[in-house]
Parts: sequence; C-alpha cells; structure tokens
Amino acid sequence: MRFRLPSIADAKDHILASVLLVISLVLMFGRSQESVNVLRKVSITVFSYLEEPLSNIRVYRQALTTNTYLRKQNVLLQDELSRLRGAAQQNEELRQLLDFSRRSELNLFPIRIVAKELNQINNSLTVDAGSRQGIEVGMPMVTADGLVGRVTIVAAGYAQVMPFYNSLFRVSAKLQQSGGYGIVSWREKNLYEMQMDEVPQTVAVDSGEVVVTSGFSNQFPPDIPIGRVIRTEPAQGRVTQKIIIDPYVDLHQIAEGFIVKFQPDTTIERLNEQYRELFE
Amino acid sequence: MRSERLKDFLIGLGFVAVQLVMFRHLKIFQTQPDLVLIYILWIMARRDRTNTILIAASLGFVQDALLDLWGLNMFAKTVIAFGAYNYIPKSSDIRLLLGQIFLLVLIVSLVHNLIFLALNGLVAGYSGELLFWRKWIGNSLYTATIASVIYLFRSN
Repeated sequence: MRFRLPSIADAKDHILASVLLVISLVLMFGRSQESVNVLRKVSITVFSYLEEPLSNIRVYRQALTTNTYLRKQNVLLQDELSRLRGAAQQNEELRQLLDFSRRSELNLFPIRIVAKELNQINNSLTVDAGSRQGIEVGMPMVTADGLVGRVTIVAAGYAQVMPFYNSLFRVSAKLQQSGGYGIVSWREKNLYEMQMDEVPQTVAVDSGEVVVTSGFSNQFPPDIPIGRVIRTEPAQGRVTQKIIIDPYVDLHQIAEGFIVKFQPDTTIERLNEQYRELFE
Repeated sequence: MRSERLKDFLIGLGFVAVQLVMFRHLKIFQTQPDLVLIYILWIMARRDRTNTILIAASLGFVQDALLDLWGLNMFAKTVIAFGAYNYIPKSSDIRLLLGQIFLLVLIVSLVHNLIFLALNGLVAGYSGELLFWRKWIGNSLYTATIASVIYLFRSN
C-alpha cells in the first residue's frame, strides 16, 4: 500500500475555510473595538437607506391606530388637564413658599424609526437622527407612553438605539407608590416582560403599580414611565424580591418617538470617579 | 472564473437585500426564513467548493454587517459551505423530488441555526429557551418551506 502526503493544493479549501472562520471569530469577539465601531457606523447608514422606504409604510399603518388611540386619550387628558390646572396653581404657590427651584424640562428631539431589529438576539432600533442633529451616545429614547431605550452608536445622520428588550439593557428605577428602588432589565425567560431586582422584600408592592426611572444612574432623567407591575416573586434565601413588569411601550408597534437630549450631570460623574479612585 | 465569482457575489448581494427588506419582515410566529442560506445551497449545487466557501463567507459578512451580528452568520455559513458541500447533489445528478429538497434544506438549516445559536450563546451569554426553539426549529422549517416553494416554481 502506498501513502501520498497531501499537497497544499489538496488542502486549499481547508486552509481557506480555516482563515475565514478565524476572521469571523475575530469579528465576533472584537465587535466592541473602535475599528469595528467605524464599520458599524457605516453599516447603520447603509441599512437605514435600505429600510427607510419600508418605515414609511409602517408609519402610515401606525398612524391609523395612533389616531384612534389619541382621540381616546384626548378626552381623558382634557379631564385630567382641568384637574391639573387647579393643582398646578396650588403647586406654584407652595413652590414659592418653599423657594423650590428645581424643575424638570426634557429637551425632546422628534425621530422616526427607520429600522427595527427585534429578532430577540441582538435587538436594536435605528432612528433617522445622528450626530448632525446633536444626538449623542447614552441619550434616552422615549415615546408618549414611556421609555424605549438608549442610544448606543451615532453616525452622521442615523443612530442606533438599544431598546429595553436587550440582554445588556439596565435602568435604575423606582416604584412610584411604594417608593422602592431597583434595577430594571429584560426578563429573558419571557420575551415580553421586564424584571425589577434589588427591591427589599420589606417593600410591599401591589400589582398595577407604576414603575418610573429613578434618575439615580445619572444616565436617564427621573420620572420617565417604564411599565406597570404584573406580579412579584420573592427570591428564596434573599432579602430582595423580583418584580415582574409589563412595559408601557410596545416595541413592535412604535414607528416614531423622541430622543431626550439629556446630558449627565458632570459633577456627579466627577464625584463617582473620585470615589472609585479612593479604592484603586 | 473570477467574473463568474463576481456575478455570483453580486446576485448574492441582491438576495441579502431581499432578505433584509422583505423576508425579514415576513414573520410567522416570530420565525423568519433565511434566503441567503437557500442561495448558498444553490451555489453549492453549481460551483466548486472554493467558490462556495468564498461566496458563503462574503455574503455572511455582508448580512452580519447590516444586521449588526458581526461574525455570526459568516461563521455559520462558512462551516455549512465547507461541511455540507459533499452532501449536496450537483446539478448533473438525478433531479430531486420536492420532499427531498425540503428535507435537505431543513437539515442544513437546522445545523446552520444550531451553530448560529451556539455561537450567539457564547458571545452574548444569552440562552432564552423560547428563543432557542423558535429560532432553531421555526426558522429552519420556514427556510425549508420557502426553498421548496422556490424549487417548485423553478421546476415549472
């Protein structure tokens, strides 16, 4: 029996496949590198051009549903407005008495969603505003219903938003009625629920309670609605409980929204840095 | 040979565009077909292995770049092009029945999606059970069905 050693030509496909597989592994594990980020910005722009015509159809379809919803909301809000006018006047008088100077005025920039990637693996939204419009990484995205996500990549005319249905998304939140604070993230066991952790078991939480941003993280302004409590699950052997939340915003339905031009308080950031330096 | 490869790649880009603009949105129970994988299988039946690997990797790269998945499709499609090449009947062989086409695409798609999910679990650390079955079985069945429909129309 004669043996023949394989030549390079025989192993050409093996070498080629190996090289290509190594390149793909480098891309996979180096996706957060600055060089890949440049490619990501280019791809967002190309992807947006492809998806933009389709987003117009989505906007028109959504407009019909939104119209009905808004008419209902209008009636409810008119009623609420009349009550709030009275409350605002009273509030103004009390503020003057207390010399209360802090006010919350969100700087909103209207955007349209040109591409949605909700394949439950690496969910993202692409919006038609970027660095040219003053959008920066970290700015929150909201709709009239509540929080949607935060900007992760900014190209010239487009930006990519990480929605709350993403395994990397975290937001510091508070329970509006019971006053408990915690961290809200995507509940990966259920594709349409979120969970709030780190809330002590001593805090009594009712279903239906509203969850809003706390403003503690210095990444999101306070009091942006996130969702409502569906149920709580006490964690065995732990002092905290798990709160399951139904988000207000339906990511599959939204076509437009706003980017909050929120700038984190640099004084708080500096203090945090100084605090970290103490332990380094 | 090079012009043929370029032509295959450009047609493949068209398939990627159709996948992104149309097929990605034709979801049934949150599952979606992979038209690019069907095109790579078609290439396997007509071109040599080197060309198939190059086309699969480059189209996987473009798909990843546009979907921000960097490397996942490229890896899975290169492995499929390399590993499944010998099992795909060439165009000169006996004409396959519709059921055989469905089964063939289903098996390839199952392997492809399994590699994709395993890598995704490794990279993102995400292992949602619901997502796993939906993506693995659902997407594979949908891809095989679309491939059968294309084959049916092509045959006629």
